Amino acid sequence: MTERIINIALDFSATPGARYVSDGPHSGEAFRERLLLPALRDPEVDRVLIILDGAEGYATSFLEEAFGGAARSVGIETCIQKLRFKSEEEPALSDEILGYIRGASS
Amino acid sequence: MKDKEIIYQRIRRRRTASSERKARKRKRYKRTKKVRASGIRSKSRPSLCVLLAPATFCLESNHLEVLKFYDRIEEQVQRRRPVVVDLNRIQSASHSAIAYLLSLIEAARSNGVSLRAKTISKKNGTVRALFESAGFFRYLEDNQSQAAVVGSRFTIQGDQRVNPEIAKSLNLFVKAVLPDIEAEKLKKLYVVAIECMANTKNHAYSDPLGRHNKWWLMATFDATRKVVSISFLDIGSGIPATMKKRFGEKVKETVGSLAQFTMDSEFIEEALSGKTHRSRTGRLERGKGLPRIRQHAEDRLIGSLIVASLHGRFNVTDSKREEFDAKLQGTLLSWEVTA
Repeated sequence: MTERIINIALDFSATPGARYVSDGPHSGEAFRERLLLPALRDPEVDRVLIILDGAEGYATSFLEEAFGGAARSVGIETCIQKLRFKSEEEPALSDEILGYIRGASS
Repeated sequence: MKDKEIIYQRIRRRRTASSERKARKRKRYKRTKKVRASGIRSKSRPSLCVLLAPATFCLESNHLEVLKFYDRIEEQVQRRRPVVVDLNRIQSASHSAIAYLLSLIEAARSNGVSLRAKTISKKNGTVRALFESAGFFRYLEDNQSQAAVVGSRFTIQGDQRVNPEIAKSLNLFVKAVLPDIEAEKLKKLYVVAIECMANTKNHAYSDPLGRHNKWWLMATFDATRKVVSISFLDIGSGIPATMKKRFGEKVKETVGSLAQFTMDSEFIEEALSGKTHRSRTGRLERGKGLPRIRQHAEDRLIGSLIVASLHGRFNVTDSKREEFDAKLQGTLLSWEVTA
């Protein structure tokens, strides 16, 4: 089984922004397009572990656009199967993100 | 002989100067006559208007009087009359009131109207220091914000887009003045700042690409109470005007405008509740920012959350709604953070 690890604070930005690229830097859309979707679409990757610790904080718009947007793009089931989350600083974040994935509407 | 020559020379010079003066006068007279005959009048400069700021220049404790003062400024600006704001009567002030004034000055200047603030006299040292610590006069001079954190103070910041670096600077400031603050509170503070910026970017202004569509963020530390007060504002359309309304609310709003009562505070409360989908975008995944901010207030991660927009004000902590005759153009969110 191949696992890819994405540490948002190290691989993307320690200061995540809002929803769209047009909103400003480090947006959820940019994260999804640059890191999340390539990992989810890679047939050789079975699991994607997202490390959420180390960032200043996550706005709902960032999380929804990144993970809800990914679910709208590759499907809810694929996201639930492949994605795993790790957050010691904010343990409730994983459930929040899963809520956005399950509630993603195309 | 030589003396006579000098005297003649002087007389000749005087005569030439006098004839030149007369010629200039004739020319001026002819020009005036021509202008009068053509019926074109020279543009007269509108007279300067001096407006005195209220003694309690604080949107939180003197909402109505401060709003009326802003209304007077906007009235004169709309008439394109040059305005000087006299701040010398101010006894106490809040950063949100200062930032709103700054936003009005910038908006007036961008429309080509002269709106200036009179320097506060040295006798009024406390108020002068407050304006200086907020970076008010420096902003007017340079037309841009200073570095966000200067020593132990946070200067007024403004931008058009979501700026995570400013949100991070706010956290750094809070951490510096409240070193014992919980990490979770800091994370939520960052999130609230980003949500506010995103809301302004996406909803506050009718023209999303407008050159002067700005938000303003400011923070002050009260060393006695050990509290950081934070305000975020924009001078856009306002929450009640931009949210999606139900049919019944539209009817009530129309009746209200005819009967001269407003229900803006109800709309603000509704937008913050997140009970029904209120995003103007119509997309279900949107419109979660304001309810999340309210949630953080209810979870006591931020305190004393007040949201004011147009004629309404909603105090989330006390669940208190108020309506005012005067209008706050835009939206103001203010809240407090403790360790």
